[in-house]
Amino acid sequence: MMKLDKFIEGENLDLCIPTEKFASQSDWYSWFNDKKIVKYLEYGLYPNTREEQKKFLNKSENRLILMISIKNKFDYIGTISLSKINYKKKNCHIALVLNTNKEYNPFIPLESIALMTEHAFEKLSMNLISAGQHVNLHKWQNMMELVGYKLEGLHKNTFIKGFEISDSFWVSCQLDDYILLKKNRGRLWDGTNKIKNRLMKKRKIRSYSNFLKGIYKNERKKYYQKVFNL
Amino acid sequence: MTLNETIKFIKMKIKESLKQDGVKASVNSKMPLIGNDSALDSMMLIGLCLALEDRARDEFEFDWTSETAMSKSRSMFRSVHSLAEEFIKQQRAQQ
Repeated sequence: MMKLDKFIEGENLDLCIPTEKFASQSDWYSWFNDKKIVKYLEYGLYPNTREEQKKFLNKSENRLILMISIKNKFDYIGTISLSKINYKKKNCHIALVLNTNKEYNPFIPLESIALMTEHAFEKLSMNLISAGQHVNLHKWQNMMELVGYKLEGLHKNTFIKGFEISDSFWVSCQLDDYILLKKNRGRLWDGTNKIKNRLMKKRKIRSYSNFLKGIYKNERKKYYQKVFNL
Repeated sequence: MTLNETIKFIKMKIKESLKQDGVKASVNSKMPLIGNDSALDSMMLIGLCLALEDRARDEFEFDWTSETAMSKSRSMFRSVHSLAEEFIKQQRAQQ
């Protein structure tokens, strides 16, 4: 396995710096041709090649992309990125791609989000980090709440891929919320065990996404029926 | 809890979770929990382990997040059967 330099070190993972050599020699490019991996992503419409992957890596303007490696193993199981980094407005997008064919600690995706979020606030001076997700990823959205991401809304019919037209969630983490969590915990990711215990307690709270889905299905529909019939 | 009861419990939880997500897959004790052939994603796996932890709560502490547990996660999550075996192993060790 190719050894990439570590950029951010975590408890269960390292975030490493991808190189041109990695893009052109590893199987990274092939993740984006795998139906299982790109199921909820806007990739997979055109075939990806090593050359395309190299081009993608070099088009790094306003973007930071890191490889997620199992701690000290240099076994790369995904990528995490900040894109559309706007230093004037102090906002950016966060995204995660996981090679679901790999075997890894199930907490790695969430810890990756926590580490990258911390980096965006602490080092890149962002005020707001946002992400969009397919509506079927409601469990993931629920987990992201534990590292500061609030559900902002449900966007109707915004995920379009072939014949599939689905809704997507919009989530974001505000600087104020990050500061609050940091004050309470010390760090956004304060250990797998503590995060796990919060997840355990969180299961007893009705998820906001279910609440919001209910509003969209009932109240929102009725409300606009009234307004549009005025 | 016996090994068979644990397998039954894990299978039931997986069925519930897959049904919730509209995924059609047959659940048996050889079913892999991670990797290429798994129908479960990492969120489902966490949900399953939290359910097992709940189930063990009054009797023993089911450890699946410590460094030691994670170092053997590849074998523990290899299949429904291997997860049940690990659960029973920890139960016996703490009794």
